[in-house]
Amino acid sequence: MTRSILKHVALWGAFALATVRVGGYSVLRCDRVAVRPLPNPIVLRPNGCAIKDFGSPVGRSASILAREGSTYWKTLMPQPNVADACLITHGDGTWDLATVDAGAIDGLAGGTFKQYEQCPDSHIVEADIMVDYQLNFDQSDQRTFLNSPTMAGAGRHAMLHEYGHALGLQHADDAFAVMRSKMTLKAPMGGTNNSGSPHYFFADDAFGLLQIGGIPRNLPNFYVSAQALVNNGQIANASDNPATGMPYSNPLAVHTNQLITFVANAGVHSWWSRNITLRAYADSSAECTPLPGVGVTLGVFVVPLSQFATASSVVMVKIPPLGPSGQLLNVHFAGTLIGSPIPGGPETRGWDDCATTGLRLQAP
Amino acid sequence: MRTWRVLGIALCAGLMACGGRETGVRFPGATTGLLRPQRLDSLATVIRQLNAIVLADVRDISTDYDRCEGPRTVLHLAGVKVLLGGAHPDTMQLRLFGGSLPNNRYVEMSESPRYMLGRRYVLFLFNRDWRFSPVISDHAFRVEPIAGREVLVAPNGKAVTGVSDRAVETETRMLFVPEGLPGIGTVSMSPTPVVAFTPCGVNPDGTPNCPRLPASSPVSNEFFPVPEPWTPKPPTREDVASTLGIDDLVRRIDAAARAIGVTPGGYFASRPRLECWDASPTREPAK
Repeated sequence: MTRSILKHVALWGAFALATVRVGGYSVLRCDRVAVRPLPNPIVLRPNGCAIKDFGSPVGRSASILAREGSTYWKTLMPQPNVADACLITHGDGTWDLATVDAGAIDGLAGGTFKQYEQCPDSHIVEADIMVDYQLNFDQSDQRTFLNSPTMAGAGRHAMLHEYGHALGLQHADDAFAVMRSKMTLKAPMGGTNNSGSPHYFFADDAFGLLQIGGIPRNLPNFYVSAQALVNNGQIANASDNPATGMPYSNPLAVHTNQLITFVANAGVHSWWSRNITLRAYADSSAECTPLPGVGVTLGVFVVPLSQFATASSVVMVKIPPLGPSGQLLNVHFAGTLIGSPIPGGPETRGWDDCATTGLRLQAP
Repeated sequence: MRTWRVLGIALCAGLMACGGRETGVRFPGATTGLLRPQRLDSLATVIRQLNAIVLADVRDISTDYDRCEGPRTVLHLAGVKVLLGGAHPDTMQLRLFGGSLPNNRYVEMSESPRYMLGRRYVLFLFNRDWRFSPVISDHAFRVEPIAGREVLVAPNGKAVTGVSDRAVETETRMLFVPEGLPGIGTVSMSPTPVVAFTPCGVNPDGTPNCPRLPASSPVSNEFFPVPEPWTPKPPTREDVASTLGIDDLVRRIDAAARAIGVTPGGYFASRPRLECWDASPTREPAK
């Protein structure tokens, strides 16, 4: 054991310092049964006055919601009808999606009107999703958490969060989840390799959706993120110093053999337990890749991922030689599946995932 | 300028026609002088829309229904004490959206806090009109005595620890489970398991030498993991060591207001005056 540790110190010097217990989900139950949507499939109508097509940023946000929602609960989203009136009605049994003036939702970034049947045998019979039209509906920067409605991705996140409510999820503020109650509590983003978007439900959200009855389908095998859960349910960026909670100076001037710590994160949002390796590496490219051999390895970890679990950890790495003096290298996390656990199953290395952090190292 | 906009909205509502589209939006009453909430994206935007911070006991909770206001859960507040901002009588009623419809179905808005009967709250009240609640966002902090301290518990079950440019911060662990919905059921929570990271060694050829893990295994499609509901462990002295009390929070909000040149107070709407509950006007985002 001691010899093994010495070997780590001598070579990569990678340590897992602490692993944080991850929050969980929250759902409403009636007679112990999770309250779930009545319609299956859900037909979610985008209001054509507010969302005119699926090509605009807000339309793409709606598409992401529909794709992600359909993973758990069959969701149909018809083409917007531009002749729609500039309003949505509540209590009519139709599930609507619209952007509204924040004044219509008491200044909030989003809100969902929900209509239930009373307990017992409660179901959600209608949910109308409204998000502030002034939010930024562009894709977020996966390197950093969202903590303000003004940031890129705030609109996409708000839509997905509200759809979580529409499906029956409640807030879960100790979780690494889309269902954290507000952006000021820092909303995590995933890596983009798996889905093409960092906006998706994480393990805790998925576990809640499973209780509701949304059986996940066609999910990628796992995800990595450049954010992680730290003490007391807080979210930190990998570019933050875990000791101080403050961002590292960026770029961070380092010297060979220096020990630095950052947070790392991976998870599985389906019911397949999987083992992965998480490689932290530094590379001149700002784009990450799960391909082996790219860049300079900072540390490698194995992570046994349980079904519906996100693993967050503070890790320490020893800086190896980084090449020409002054060179700037981006720190990335690459997750790769160990083996192929299900013979003939859907798992391929093509579904490996990566996340780029905001941390750049300056070679000594 | 605002008068013209208000008149325009009123006219649209009256004629039910704006730009050739039927709006169908109805208003509960007079639509003159409406003051719509602005987006809440920082502490400054909260303070600019702050009528008052009050301390009050939730003495009773009743329900009401109006065709235009919709189902309302009415908080009957007693012992109201203004901590900052505009004056209020010592008893008040807050008409929150949510409750039973005549068809016995239940409606709610997703982001609205839930309240506990008989508890004392610190409430941030709007100086704007509102549709769903006169309390700004989730600024409804329950006063809980924990380990000899007066702790302010946010609707998310965490306690207030400070005030930043972004928000009133709640950086404790979850100390209480959020409340459920009357007539629907209870909120249950469950944690997910701990997963460990294990560092790998390096083979002589530079490849990772990782410890062997138990094989990944598929799960039967018939197996639904249903964890036991989770209750947070009781809060301890350590959990609340860095929390703010009532006076601390008010002092910090007052200081933040002074720093941006704002004096909380002004208008307070005791009833919703914006659009009726059953329709919301929509708006296209800027390109």
